[in-house]
Amino acid sequence: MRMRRRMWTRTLRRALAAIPLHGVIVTLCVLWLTPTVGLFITSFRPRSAISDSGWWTVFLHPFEMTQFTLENYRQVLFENDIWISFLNSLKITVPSTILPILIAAFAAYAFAWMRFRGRTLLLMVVIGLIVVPLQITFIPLLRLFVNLGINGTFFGLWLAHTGYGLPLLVYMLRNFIGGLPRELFESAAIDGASHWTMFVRLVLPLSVPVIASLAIFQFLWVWNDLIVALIFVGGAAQTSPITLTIANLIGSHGEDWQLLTSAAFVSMVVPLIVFFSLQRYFVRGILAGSLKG
Amino acid sequence: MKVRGYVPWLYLAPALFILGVFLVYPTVETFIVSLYKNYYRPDRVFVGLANYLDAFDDRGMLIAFRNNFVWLVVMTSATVGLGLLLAVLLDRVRYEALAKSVIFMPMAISFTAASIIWRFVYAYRPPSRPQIGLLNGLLMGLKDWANTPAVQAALTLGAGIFGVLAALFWGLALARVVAEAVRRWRDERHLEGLARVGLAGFLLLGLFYAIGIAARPPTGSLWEFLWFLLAVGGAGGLLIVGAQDRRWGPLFLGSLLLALGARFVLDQADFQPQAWLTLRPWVNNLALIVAGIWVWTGFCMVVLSAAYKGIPSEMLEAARIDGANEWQVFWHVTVPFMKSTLAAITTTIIIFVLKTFDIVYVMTNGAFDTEVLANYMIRTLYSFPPRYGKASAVAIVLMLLIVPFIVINLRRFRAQEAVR
Amino acid sequence: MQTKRSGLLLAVLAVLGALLVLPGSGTATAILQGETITFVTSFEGDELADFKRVVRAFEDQSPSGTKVIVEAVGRNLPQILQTRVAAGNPPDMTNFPQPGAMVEFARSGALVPIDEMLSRTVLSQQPKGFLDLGTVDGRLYAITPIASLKSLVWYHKPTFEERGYPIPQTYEELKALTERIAADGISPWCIGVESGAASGWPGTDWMEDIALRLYGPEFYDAWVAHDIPWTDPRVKTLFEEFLYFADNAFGGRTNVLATNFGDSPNGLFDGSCVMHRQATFIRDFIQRQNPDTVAGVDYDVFTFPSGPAQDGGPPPALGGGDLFAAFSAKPGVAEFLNYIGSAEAQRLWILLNPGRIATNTTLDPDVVYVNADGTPDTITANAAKTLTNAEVFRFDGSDLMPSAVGAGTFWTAVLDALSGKDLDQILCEVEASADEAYTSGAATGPVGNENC
Repeated sequence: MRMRRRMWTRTLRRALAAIPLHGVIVTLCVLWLTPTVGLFITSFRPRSAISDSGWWTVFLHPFEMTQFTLENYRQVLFENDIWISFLNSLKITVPSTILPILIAAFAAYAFAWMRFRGRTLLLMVVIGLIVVPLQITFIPLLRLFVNLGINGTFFGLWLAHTGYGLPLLVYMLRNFIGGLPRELFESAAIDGASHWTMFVRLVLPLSVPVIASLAIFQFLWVWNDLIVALIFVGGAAQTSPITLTIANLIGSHGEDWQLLTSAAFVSMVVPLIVFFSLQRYFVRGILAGSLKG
Repeated sequence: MKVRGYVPWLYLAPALFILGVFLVYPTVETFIVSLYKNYYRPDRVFVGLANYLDAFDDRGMLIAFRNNFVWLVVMTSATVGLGLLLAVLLDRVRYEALAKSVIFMPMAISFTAASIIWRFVYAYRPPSRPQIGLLNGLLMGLKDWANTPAVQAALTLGAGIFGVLAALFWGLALARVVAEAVRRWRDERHLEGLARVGLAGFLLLGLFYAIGIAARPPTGSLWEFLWFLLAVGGAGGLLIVGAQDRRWGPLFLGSLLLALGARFVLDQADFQPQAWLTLRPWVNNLALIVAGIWVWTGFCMVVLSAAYKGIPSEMLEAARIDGANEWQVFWHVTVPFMKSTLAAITTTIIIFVLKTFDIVYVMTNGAFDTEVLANYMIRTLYSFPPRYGKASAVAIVLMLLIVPFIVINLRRFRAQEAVR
Repeated sequence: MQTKRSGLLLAVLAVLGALLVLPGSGTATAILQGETITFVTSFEGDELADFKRVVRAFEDQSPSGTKVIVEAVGRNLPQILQTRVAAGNPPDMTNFPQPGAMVEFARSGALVPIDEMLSRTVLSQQPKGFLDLGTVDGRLYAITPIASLKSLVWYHKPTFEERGYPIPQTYEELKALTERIAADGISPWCIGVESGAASGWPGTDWMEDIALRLYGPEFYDAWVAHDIPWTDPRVKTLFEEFLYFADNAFGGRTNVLATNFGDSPNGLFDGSCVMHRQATFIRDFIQRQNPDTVAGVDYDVFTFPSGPAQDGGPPPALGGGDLFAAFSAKPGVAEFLNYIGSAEAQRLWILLNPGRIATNTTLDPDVVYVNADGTPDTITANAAKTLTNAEVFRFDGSDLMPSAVGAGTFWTAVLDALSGKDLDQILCEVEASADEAYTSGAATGPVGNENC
């Protein structure tokens, strides 16, 4: 009898102790979600409703459908060749993700497992290039592109994004690849494997999780970019990525919140899909393996 | 590992080539441009370091400097701190993956979308019209609640009681610290005595801070900066005391906060909606920084979480068995074990913070004294008449500011490389 | 395992290859029959959509089959133009919302003069004021097809009629009316200067209108050209006058600071205030946010009245507009310029949205300005007449100044003044930035300001 009561109090105490834990976590999660939820709800409200009441008032009558509308999305999605922009964004982002990761992987392997003079110094320079702010590269690079005739092309844009992404990618990949067990390479070397074989057969397969998460990171960054595309490709509708098309949708005067919110959401759709379907790579912290001490 | 001399360079060549063209060459050119006026036009003229001197003479640039400092301190500590907290807490719940997704999600959306989201949260409507921004909506709701007579009475009483309690505990904490200082001094442990005196000083600053919340500093940026230092010092002091003085410290902190809170709600019972992004100098900067924290905390959390999970559980168990409470386990086992990851992520965030420009560009473009260096540089670069030289000088200065943090990061590489 | 990995690798390479081959991944400019010109524009949202329709109309009627590629860059216009010009890759044409920028590019040789490109007819149909605006060092570089009038006061007609408020004919009468309305317990004005990154600009418009009325066009020109310093006592008076109106605005200075300019006219319809000073474009805002109101019934407009400097003459007109200029001399450019300056193009453009004023002098205001329902738009028609018949016309001053001042320290000065900062100190700071930003002007340079 007493045993059971003691077990009861113990579970009760544990439950009580757990309340602050869950309380804090749930509070933080709610805080984190609320701004986005507000945006989402607002994107379904007509303009008049938005300026008359806060979005939280929809919860007073949650099932009254007349307070919602699809007009904002209709305007955003069907009036501006958004599908071409979507395709453009893909054409820009996919190569700008694959290329830098490939190049970074090669360099990272060399930095991690090959010995050569000046390795440390060179590595420090490469990583040190993280400090360079993008904007100062625009004029010199555009001049170069014009001389080479590749301004206005997606190709130039791919190269630019590759350049911008390399320092961080090399940093992270090198950390991870350098962390692979030495014995792995030693035994392969004993078996007569060349660096190329080790790279392709050993390093790449083992790095898939890190590469996947870095690829997601790079993808998101390039997809959400506006200014680099604007500078190197220009603002013509045929070649605009989706970020630019949406930015142009929003008038410069005043606050058209109904358009702003729905446009923001449309621009968020692909990154969110990419994120949610692949989030286990992030969430399981594999990315972190490359940042460990 | 044995290699033929040229092999590494084969692997490195593409990366080095691209980096050389896309990052090194523009940097070098930027430096050269900073030494001229009108470099890209026929009337260029060499001016040496004049652009740099010009830049430091500019009030706009000094404000940007100040803001960058604020961003640095606040955003770094908040994102890393919150990230660490979440990493530790989430490890203990079953819905960890879901919660992590929620916190990380803002990283997936563009800075433009994030800025739109937060501009909407801060939206302002004149007092006579209904509020549409979340923050002002909450404020008005709070006002309605605080103006009911029952709540008014409770708050007045509470402010009074907790105020008295805070003063009491403050006195006790101060007395205790002073007693300890005296004791250490008498025991010839001068250094520790001095440290205790320093703590007492912090307590005093803490009191200033509490008073300072109500008082408005005189106008003029030097005064504001001094007040800011005092406030930071005071806040820091409060935290240190609260953590150190285990008996009265936390009670003092708690009652102080409750008293201030009650007082604040009472005073503001005539709440008006605020145009948050126009309130300078601290509120609007803080508003922007909050947007940055919202985006970046998920990144810190994920990285720190992996490091946290890498701590061998035996170490934690051993500490717990030895009787340490959670707080002690955290400070004496967890944090030291994660030191290198914490250092890496902190410097990484610092670098990103200093390069921040999107959030400011989209939300205010530096209006109302919210300018940051990266945005200031761009505005200077593209104004008419264009001031390439000055903008390039600002860019170089910005890069030089970031370099020390990279150096810290890279020193660890050096140590690592030595071992390989 | 191996086959899965190599399969993945093949798939990736295939995608890469496909993307390289797919059309559109090459150059941005298509190769078409006629010539193609590129137009980089700052227009966004509805303005952009309307402009594109005008462009399409141009392409439809172009005898040589010229096509125009419109590159919309929004507020990044200065950045894009500067970068592309510096890189040797300018677009063919652009629109300058700020004449100052146009002058800058013209002087540096980036723009080509267009006086030879325009036909005699079109040239003769441009109003002199705007032609002068587009002229730099004797050559014409830009025309302004669409303009706006800024010196307007929108008022709540029912209240005015109910209380018998007179339409003021002079600046003094306007202030007297302000006092009278305030004495009646109503806020006379609605003012809002918040505008995100551009906060403060409505205040500059106020001060420019007041400058023309208190001190006249010579003072205005000298002020804009920095022949007189910002520390001049008359400039200080401008700020003081503006603050007077801000104090008489709904919610006082703090509310003026916090309210978005697009929101502020709504105060006319919810009883907050009765007058709002703003350019013609605000008509669109009012209609969209208060769709049940009718122009001429619920609200009307009077011109911001003359001041002592006009000595009994008609009020000066403060205006704005977009200057269309060219970086290249392609025949397509000449064709487009002639089209956009013609009555036909402008008639189409103003039909698309109320509130725009066409500058072509052959258009009859009473005929061309119509509301969406076909009824004549008297408000815009009158504004157009005021603009063309004005004895004194000046372009928005802050758009003429170097951007560091006109789109920088002048704006922040308005915000600082409303926040209560000391006026002398504010003016010193603006003067310091003007010293640095201007390349000409009698007051430019370290002349030394005694009070700073």
